[in-house]
Amino acid sequence: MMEVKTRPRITDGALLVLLAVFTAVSPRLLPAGAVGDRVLVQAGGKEWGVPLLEDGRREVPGPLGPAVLVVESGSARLQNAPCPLKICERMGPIRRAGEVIVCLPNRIVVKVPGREVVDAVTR
Amino acid sequence: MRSPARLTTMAMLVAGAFALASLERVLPNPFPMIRLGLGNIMTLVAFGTLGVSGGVWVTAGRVGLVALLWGGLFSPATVLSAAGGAASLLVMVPLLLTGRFSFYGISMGGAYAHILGQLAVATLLYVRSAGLMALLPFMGAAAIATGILNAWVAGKLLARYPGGSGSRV
Amino acid sequence: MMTDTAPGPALGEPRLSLPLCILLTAVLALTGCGEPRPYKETRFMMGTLVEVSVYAPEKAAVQAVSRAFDRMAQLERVAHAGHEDSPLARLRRGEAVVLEGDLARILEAGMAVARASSGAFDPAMGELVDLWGLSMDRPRRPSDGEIGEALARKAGLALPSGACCPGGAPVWMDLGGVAKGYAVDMAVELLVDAGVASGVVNAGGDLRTFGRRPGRGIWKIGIQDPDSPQELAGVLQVGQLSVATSGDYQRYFEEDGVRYHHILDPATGYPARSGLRSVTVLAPDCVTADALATAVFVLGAEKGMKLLEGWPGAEGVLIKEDGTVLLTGGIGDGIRFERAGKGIRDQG
Repeated sequence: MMEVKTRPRITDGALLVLLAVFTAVSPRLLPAGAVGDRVLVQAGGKEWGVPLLEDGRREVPGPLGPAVLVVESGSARLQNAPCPLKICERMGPIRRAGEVIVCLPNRIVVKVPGREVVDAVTR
Repeated sequence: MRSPARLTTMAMLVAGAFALASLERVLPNPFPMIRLGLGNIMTLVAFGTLGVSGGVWVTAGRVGLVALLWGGLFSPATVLSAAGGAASLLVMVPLLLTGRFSFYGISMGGAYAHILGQLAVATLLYVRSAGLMALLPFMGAAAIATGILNAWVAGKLLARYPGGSGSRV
Repeated sequence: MMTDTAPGPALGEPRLSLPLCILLTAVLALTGCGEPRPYKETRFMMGTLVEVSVYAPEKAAVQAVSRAFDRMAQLERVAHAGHEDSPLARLRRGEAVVLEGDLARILEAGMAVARASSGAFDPAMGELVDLWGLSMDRPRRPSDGEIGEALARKAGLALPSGACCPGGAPVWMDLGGVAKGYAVDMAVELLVDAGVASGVVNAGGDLRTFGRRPGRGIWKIGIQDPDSPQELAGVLQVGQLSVATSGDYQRYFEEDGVRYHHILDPATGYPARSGLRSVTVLAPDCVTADALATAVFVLGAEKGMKLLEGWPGAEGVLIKEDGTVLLTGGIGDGIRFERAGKGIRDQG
């Protein structure tokens, strides 16, 4: 019968390095516009990240009043009660790199970071 | 060889793997994307005591039992766990057969293959977008860590097992 | 095979930290190279979100971009009637005003398109825009009478010609749209003068590229799908160029089941119904692209295509209500357009 070592050997170290390097470069192997794992929120002169992996509702401050960022099954949308035309509500949900929700009156930007397919979008 | 002792050991390890996998499901998990993969400890011990086929049977037994008692036969959870189990065996068995890797290498390779297999199947069957791979940095790092942890635990267990080869190193 | 009996190091002993060092070095090396990334900054101004992204060393980029934003902020003040002493506010009171500098150039560019489009683009729509509440996000459907009166007043006024406005009748100008295009042009001019090699200035979809994009050489500009805000209807590949889009999906409101969008037909005073959903115009400068896009949207496919074909250096991508896409003759020759299926962003 085969014997198995229970103490780490140098080959294990080599495998560790290989796997660690692969893990580190894996984001670069993703295609542009891939589904992201978080969004960046810009509001009130600050920017912060919100993970897309857990569902939840968070308040986002705005000059017209708080909006609500809803994360649901891996995508984000904005519920913006104080905003008159509610354009931003129609812009969601977003999940892929480069997708963005902009609320002009309430000055909120929600964006999925990552490599984008295009340099700019005309709309 | 199908000795009663061998069968008893295997049954014990399958039961242990099932218990550990169940424990993991019951415990609260702050990071749903990360599994410790504790069931794999028993697969490693089986490799050490029963050889290659033992590890294969223990993995298959664990996946089957978890499917029957927790998940429903063809639920996504079962399909993903089977995919992960198969992928980890596909990596662990060759690593074992080369004879050049310890529990640590086998366990890390298995854990990494497990998440790769799951992500691949989830992408092909359920999400249909390459975006799940965005989770790789996160899950890959976790797989390396849990792989090391499981190898350590499996080594301790094997040292206490009277017929284990680990005690003779 | 199993002759290696020398006990390996236990976890946490020095041997395993060597791989960790190699790993750290590898990660550092890998994050240092790869595809060049632009320096990006966004600000809310001119009633939209303006994004400036440039390829330049960070320190130089920060300075140049900040000056570009300052220039656009200054133009925003010039082109708004908000200030009591501003030339536009004085025009609105019927005073005689001499238009100079930036304002004169904005008006000149707008008037050129107004003449060529027989008034389909009209810089004197201020009262109607106000009536519909579109500039202030307080939309309402004005009565037919209100619209008629505003149209009559607009018809009666002498549009300013050249740099000089005679005074007498009040002229209520709305230069918001074209001023945005002009601000983009000026920001690009400033960035180029500051030595920035390449970049994009995008004011809510009115954009201008300059220089060669590092990596692929050409710029990829997505055209938003009118039916779904996160999809692209197609992708343009351009060199240095300005691109602007007018669409009925950008800003609209619904009242009593009727949908009213924000592009008013100067002839009727109501939202234009020309069978088009979106018009994207490519032109050497952004102020012209902007005015042309509005004019073509109001004119409709047939007359709009003629206007574009006759305008030197202008090209267009028109999306009709039935989803058909019309391209002007120059596209395919230097400028490429790829139509997208849904989910284009999933493709590399």
